[in-house]
Amino acid sequence: MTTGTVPTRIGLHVIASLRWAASVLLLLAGVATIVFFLIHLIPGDPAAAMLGDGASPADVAALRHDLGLDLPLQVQYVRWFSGLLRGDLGHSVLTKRPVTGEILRALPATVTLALAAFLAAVAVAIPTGVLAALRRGRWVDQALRLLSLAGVSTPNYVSAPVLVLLFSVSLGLLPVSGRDTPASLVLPAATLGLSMAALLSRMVRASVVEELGRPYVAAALARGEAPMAAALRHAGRNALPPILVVAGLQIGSLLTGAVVTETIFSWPGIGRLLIQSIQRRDYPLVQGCVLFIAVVYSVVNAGVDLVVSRLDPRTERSGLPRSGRA
Amino acid sequence: MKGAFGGLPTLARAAGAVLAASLLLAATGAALPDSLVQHIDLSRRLAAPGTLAPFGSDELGRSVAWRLWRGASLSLGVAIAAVAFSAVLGSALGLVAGERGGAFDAGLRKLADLVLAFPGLLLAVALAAVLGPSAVNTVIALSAVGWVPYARLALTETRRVATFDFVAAARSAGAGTPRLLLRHVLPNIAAPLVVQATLHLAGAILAESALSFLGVGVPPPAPSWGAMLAAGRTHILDAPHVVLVPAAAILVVVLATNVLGDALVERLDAARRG
Repeated sequence: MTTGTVPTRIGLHVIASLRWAASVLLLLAGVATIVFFLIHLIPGDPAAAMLGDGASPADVAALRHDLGLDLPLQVQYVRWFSGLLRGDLGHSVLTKRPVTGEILRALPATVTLALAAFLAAVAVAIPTGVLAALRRGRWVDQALRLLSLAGVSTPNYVSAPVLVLLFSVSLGLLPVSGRDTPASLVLPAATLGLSMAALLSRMVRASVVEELGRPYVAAALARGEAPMAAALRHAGRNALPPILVVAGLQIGSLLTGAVVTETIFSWPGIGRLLIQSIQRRDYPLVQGCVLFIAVVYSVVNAGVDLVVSRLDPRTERSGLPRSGRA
Repeated sequence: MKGAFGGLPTLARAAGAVLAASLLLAATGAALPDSLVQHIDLSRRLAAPGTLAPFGSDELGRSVAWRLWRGASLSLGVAIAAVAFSAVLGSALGLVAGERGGAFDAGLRKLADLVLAFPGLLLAVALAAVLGPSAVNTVIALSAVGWVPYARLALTETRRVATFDFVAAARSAGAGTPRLLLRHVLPNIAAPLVVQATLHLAGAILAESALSFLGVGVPPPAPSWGAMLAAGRTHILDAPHVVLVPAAAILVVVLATNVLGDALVERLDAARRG
């Protein structure tokens, strides 16, 4: 990894990347282990629970054999992992189709929704956050502060019905649910993006305020630059990394938010697939959805950490930034 | 530190009063008779708020007001239990790992990272789903996720406090580890843990509602606020009050808790800066 006794710059990067990859893989293995044990937390016989009360003992035994639940635990564990490596998450109990295929079919809807919500949130948060920072302490700042507090405190199962009531029922502008027209995307994306926009806006404000107080901004102002230009040219660049961290980490809450939002708006994504599988006691599908969401979340977070450590080398030595997740 | 709420801004005091009133409703709500809470009257199906029922009636003609009151004891009860359980479990793990250090410290951090690898409510939803819907299982599911911040906080704070002279003094005076942790370390790290618990309460109320809303929390006909929301959702067009009333209840309590929590955080920061 190193040339000679002194590690080169490239060598250090390679070592850091390998360590990063190893820690991500270890975390993912842990996640997969927890998801494996989920099915064993079902009280009583999981196979009987999946088939419901009306099932004959023969059917239950057949399903138990089908799922490998009659094998010793360690054999099941090895089978689960070797399946994972081949992209095989088992079969849906209900439809008998591969879990991987079901997830991949629901994926585009969730990606569309999460992306729309993310972009909408960023588009709202950056201007409002910068505005609040530039007008610190004035009424605009106070109003935005209250709005964002309300936004953070409003769960999407509350904001969704209110938005539906406002835009679909009272104004008749947008469809209530489904995924038939492009307009169907508006309400789910607004619901999902709302709390992220509120949180991110405060974050942008705090970050810009902090940078505006630094000597280099005062120097730029003294040179005669306009406050707005100084804010964007100098403060913007330095304020960006922490904003990026929060935005990246928020992708995770978008994924869980999608579970509720998709259920409310009948949006055919992975979140709704998860809740439907829970209702139908289709536990292999539940395991698949949970694993998929957690893996995407972990990889995104690890990716954000890596990007941040590249943007700001100071964070590299002191470990990965975690402050946004507590 | 003077009285628990002394010196807080007016808004935070008001929030504290709202929270205290909600807790009073929660404490008394459990005693409401089923003849009020579960009384079905189909002739009053989805009736709008009026003199007979101040918050109207739900899809089975049951009084939304009575159900909301009983729901307070369920929703807040589950949330408080989850907070208490998480706080005790997380703090205990953090204290012990902080005192032991080494592999305990590293192990606890790894475990915390593992739980945090599941976004937000996902693990709680999955756990509640496999355990089956019930109030106890909801508490278990929420606590399985909720202990992590307490553990991290207690771990970090214990390591910090452990370097102080009074800890060494207590140890040399013959205090055993349990006594040292409970009598000397815990009182010195309690403030941030209490603040964390206040902030966590808001999250736990939201989480309980979300779980009940998704159908993996407290099962019907128990009127948990989230379950009331979920049941009313299909009637949003003809009877918005069945959704708006529990939604408002959740919002008010969560907002009050957040405001109070923020004020406590600010005061703690101020105290730390001295």
